[in-house]
Amino acid sequence: MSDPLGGNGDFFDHKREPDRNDRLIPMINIVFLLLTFFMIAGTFHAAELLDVEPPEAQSEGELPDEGPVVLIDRTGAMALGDERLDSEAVVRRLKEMVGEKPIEVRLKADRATEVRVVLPLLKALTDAGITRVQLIAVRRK
Amino acid sequence: MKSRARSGFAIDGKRRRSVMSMAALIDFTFILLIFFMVVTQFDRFTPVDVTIRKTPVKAQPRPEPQDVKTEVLHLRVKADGFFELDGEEIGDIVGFTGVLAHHQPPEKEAAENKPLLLVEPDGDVSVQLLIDTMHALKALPGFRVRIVSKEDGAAPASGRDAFAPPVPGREVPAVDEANGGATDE
Repeated sequence: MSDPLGGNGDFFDHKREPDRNDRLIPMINIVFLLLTFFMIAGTFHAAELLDVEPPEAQSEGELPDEGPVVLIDRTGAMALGDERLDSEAVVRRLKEMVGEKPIEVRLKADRATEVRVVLPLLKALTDAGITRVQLIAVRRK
Repeated sequence: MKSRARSGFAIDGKRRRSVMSMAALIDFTFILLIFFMVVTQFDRFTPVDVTIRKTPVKAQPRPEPQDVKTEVLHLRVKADGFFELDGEEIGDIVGFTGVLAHHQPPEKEAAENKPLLLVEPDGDVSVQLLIDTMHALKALPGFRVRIVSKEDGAAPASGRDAFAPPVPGREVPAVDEANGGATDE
């Protein structure tokens, strides 16, 4: 009488009838491969206060890890870190940071944000003593 | 009887190989897979330098011959993606570089006195269009490019050259390259 679980105690017994698990093994292999791919190839980003889709650019540089990030969504709303602020408050906060050491500000603006929002902010940042501003873009494929 | 057999022991007490069901493993793996598929991002972020560079104040400005005038071209960027050069429509981002290329001076002349191209985006131009414009202008090394804002007289901009305040006249004295190696895109 055969084993109701589909085996007779010998793992390499090729004579035993294939059970349900055997048919699942290729699928498990594929799923594990996909899982490994997503774990290795993907990157995580912290959730942001504003919904921002950065513009595309053909740039090869690497984005610096340090420095405050100013978010600007498509409506022109701004946030610094995890706080919603207006542009004057953003500049004021950044100006306070400049006192200690030179800072590099990263600007994450939505691709649809109008330049009438962004350009005056850049001007104000320069006037506040920010020596370097980087606009975050997505590398164009 | 059946439950005892599933526990891995035969009725006679002799130990047999237990076969674990893989259904739970698959469920868990699928949950992990879906989690990573949902939260993973493949976008690679890259910086575009948009630092405003104030027009450098030099103790001893470079002497300019009186008869040398820098040609100034005004490139208006409109929100619909079309461009105007000195008030004349010159097409969209695909076509406007071809028109501008005709305004580039010959290489020898360009080295001495590059025309100044003032890029004036309308207020409702998107950031994406401005970046695309600046990238397209990189193909025209015969110009010094500056972005000027009509709205507040600010000197914003990005790109190959410095941001500078709007220049009111059609002819301005030659300006030094104020961009110390700013990389556009």
